[in-house]
Amino acid sequence: MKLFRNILLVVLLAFAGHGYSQEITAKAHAMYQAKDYDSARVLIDAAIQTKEKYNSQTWQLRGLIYRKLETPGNTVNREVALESFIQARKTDTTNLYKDKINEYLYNTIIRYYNDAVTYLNEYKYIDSEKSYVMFKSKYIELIDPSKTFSNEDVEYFNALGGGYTKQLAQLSGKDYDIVFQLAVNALSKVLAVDSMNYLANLNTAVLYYNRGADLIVNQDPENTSIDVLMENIATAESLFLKAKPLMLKAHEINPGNIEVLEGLSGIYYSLNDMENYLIYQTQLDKINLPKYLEIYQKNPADKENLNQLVRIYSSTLKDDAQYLKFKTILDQLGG
Amino acid sequence: MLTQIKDTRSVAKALFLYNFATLIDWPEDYRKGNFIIGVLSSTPDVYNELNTKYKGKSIGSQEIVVEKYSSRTDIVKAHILFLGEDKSAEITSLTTQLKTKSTLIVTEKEGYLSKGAVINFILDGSKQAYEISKPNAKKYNLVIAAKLTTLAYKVVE
Repeated sequence: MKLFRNILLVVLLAFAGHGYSQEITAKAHAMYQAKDYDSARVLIDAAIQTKEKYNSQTWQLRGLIYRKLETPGNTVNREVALESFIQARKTDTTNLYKDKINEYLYNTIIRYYNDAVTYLNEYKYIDSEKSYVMFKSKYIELIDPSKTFSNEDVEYFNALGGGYTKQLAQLSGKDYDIVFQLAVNALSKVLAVDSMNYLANLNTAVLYYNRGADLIVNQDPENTSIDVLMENIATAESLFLKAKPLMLKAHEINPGNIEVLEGLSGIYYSLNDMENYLIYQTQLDKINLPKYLEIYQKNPADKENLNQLVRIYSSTLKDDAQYLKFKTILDQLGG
Repeated sequence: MLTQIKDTRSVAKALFLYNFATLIDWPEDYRKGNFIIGVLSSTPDVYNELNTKYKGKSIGSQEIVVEKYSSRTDIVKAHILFLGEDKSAEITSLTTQLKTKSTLIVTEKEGYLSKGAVINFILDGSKQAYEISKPNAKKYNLVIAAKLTTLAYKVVE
């Protein structure tokens, strides 16, 4: 009798080691393999109502089936899949399937990140951020509580901030205000993780600078009284002052970048700080002068280009002879 | 291209000049014909801004005309004359030239109210502001609205 009991135990263990040993689960598995996921779902949901619920493989299969039943924009089945993998982990008392279940969980959770990227590409920024936050919280909860997301945050929130920034070009009024703040918030999350992040410093500075400059440049002459003008100047000044340290940091990180030089030149110009404006504008003009001279060679009557040459030779890269030459040409063209 | 340098200063100055035009009364003989805003400056920015956005608009029943002068001798009659910083040295000759006229002389150089400007652009910290000389306004028979003096950084009485 004792021998028989031992033989039975060996048989049961062997059965358990080969695929889905239990009857309903086995049928569900067959449906899953046949890609009939709806039938597989009905069977696996029936299986967990029986003693088969004590089998980790039943829950693993349920997770896989529900994951197949996901539809775009609807994560309910993904949630069920995750719950199933959690149950699979709980019932895997000997840790036999530990690595496999972790892989299932990871591959399911990463879908939230993929959703975040997809939504980003579809300009659905609110949904994107929700998915990204979900990805992180699920990852910490189910895979690695000690995981930090510094690199992911930098990459993701830079992209999100960039997305919002692009959107601003088509917006005005309150919509502009809302999206502007969302862009700043996204980029400030990058700076909170990495205060020396070049892109976040540059893009946040550009946001502030452009907002201040637009506030001045886009004023309607006939509907801007002098008191409103002065309020706008004060508001713009506060925005330029916010932009300045960020742009200076971007310059510290990437001193030769032309966008940064343009940004600093613009900020100091708008802040009426001629001394610093000339420092950065001179660097910028040194870079751009060959381009302006080339344009002049191709189109000597380009007034805008001539204005630049006159400005350069009379202010940043002073050269009286060159200044007179281009000023004369410009005057002959009627300024 | 993330950044585009925008000429905020010329925009603000042009809008100030337009507001000055609406908040100052000129004598009777200046209330007919075109309203002339003249610019004497080596740099084109303020003139370009005025010419682009304000030419053809009206001050009362007068149509705004924007004129660019290459020399002070080009100035015949102007309601407002904006004297760019690079041409500031002309102020003494200009005040002599315009002493019998009613031209609002606007400068952008420190201390220029004492040299005859009626309004002078200055900086309040890093913000564009302006100061006014009431005695100089009186010399040119210009009446400045209280709102303009209230908002001025400084008013010379």
